[in-house]
Amino acid sequence: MHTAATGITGLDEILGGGIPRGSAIIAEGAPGTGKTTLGIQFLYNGIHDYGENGMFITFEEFPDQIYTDMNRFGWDLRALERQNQLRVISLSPDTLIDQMLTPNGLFEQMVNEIDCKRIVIDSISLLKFLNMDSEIKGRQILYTLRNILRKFKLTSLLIQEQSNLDSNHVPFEHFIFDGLIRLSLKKHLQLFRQRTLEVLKMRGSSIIEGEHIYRITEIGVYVILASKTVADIQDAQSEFRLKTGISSLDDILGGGLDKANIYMLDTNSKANYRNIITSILAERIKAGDQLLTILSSIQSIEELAALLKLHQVDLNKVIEEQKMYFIEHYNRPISPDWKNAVFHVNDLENDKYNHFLRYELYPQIKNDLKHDKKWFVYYDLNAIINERGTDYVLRNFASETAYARSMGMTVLVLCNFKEVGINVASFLERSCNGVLKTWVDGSYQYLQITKASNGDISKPYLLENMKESPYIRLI
Amino acid sequence: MVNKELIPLQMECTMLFQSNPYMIESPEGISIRLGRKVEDILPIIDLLLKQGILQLLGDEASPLYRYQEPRVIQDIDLSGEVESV
Repeated sequence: MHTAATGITGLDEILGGGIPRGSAIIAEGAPGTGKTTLGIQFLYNGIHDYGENGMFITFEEFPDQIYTDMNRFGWDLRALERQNQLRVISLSPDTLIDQMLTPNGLFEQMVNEIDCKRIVIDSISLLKFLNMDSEIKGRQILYTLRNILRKFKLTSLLIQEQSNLDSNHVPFEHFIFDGLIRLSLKKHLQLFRQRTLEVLKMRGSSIIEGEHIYRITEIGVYVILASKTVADIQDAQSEFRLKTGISSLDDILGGGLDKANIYMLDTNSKANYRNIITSILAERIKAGDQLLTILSSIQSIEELAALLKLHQVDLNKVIEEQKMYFIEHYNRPISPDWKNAVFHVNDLENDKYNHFLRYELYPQIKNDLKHDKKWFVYYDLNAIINERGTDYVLRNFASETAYARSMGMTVLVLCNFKEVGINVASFLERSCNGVLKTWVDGSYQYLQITKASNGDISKPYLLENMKESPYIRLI
Repeated sequence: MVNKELIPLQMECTMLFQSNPYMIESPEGISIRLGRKVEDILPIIDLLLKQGILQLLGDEASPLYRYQEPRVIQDIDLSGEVESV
């Protein structure tokens, strides 16, 4: 194990397992944020759950106050001290540094006495005051402290009073220590305060970014991960998860797209979404699905064929096997080989188009579904809005998607929320089970799951191009 | 201070260390923690040292004190004595 689990609900998940062993982390926060509780909980769980003894060093607080305070969580610290598993040590900052520097000094003796693996120092803010007249000396002390903690291979949590949030000034200790956890108190619903925890730095770890809400409960600090509503338990390997061909996207989606769900890909005009769409379509073809595609004005079958070829899919063969169909709103020439796969609807008024869907297309699909064929629909909503108008979409989109769901079909809808306006966008979002949003900001493209059937909202991922299929990955 | 007046302070000091067994303090630190004058604390520390309640750490130039846990014998085998009775 490379990490020392804190045993604090939510925190280990954010930290990717726990605090990297032997590293020194700062826990920073304003008064009342629960820094001391967090520190003691880290030590108590270490002893209780992971067999790692610990030491709590306090400069200002009386240990007996800490014993009493922590009793409310059911943590009997005196009992752990009697069993030589814990020490709550109270001394002055200069004594600590002096004893740390002394060969076989008190610090070394105590570490050895209890075979100490974890340490909490409350707080390092006071160490800086040891040399108020010289900033360089103050830095030197913290640097020495870090080196000594490393020498003893102690996993350390160093408590610090809230530093200046002024972004122009980054405290020195943020650079020299291995990680930074910030606890904050924020206004919430006018009368209340919300506690949030954010990991701003954790050397050698992959963390879950963002501000996570935490509460101090009867079992101590309890962190609820950001962007998590009550998630359903899902089986990532289930046949009900449709792979997208982009493994990093599948991971974020908990295994893939949910079968018989409606997904919206919301994209701004600058964003390149074609690789995402093509990868998903190619993957569905490879999985043996029947595909229905609503073509847009900017994507013809030829272009789609060329893109699918890059993903090792031969569209001619797919069409020949009667596995892919197209709804074409534009009068574009098509290859005679593809003729039977295309429904030309450019001449159809909205009513007739709707009639065509209900009485020609749906029965065909229904017939296929009876024979256990699976259908996947790629729906370019921009094309429908352009050709049939927003009113048509508002009237029919919900019933079309509801029908698709009831037939067990998975639908991927492409739309530009910004272009359709806030009201239509919010209607469309409600009609879908999941929303993937991709956008370009500056010279980077991002992708974020902003709505998912399991209630999980992802952080914004960066999209990076790759040289080989699927040509993109999420970072 | 006369000896009689030392007793409450001696109690305060003993209680402080007993409740905080891993507290390590200089005379100045003890005086701050108790809210008493250093010159009143010094004779008390001497007394507690002699009684074995406190333990001296470090050198005399910058002394530090910590609590010395009383030795408690928890298991005594009296079976031999019982048999001889």
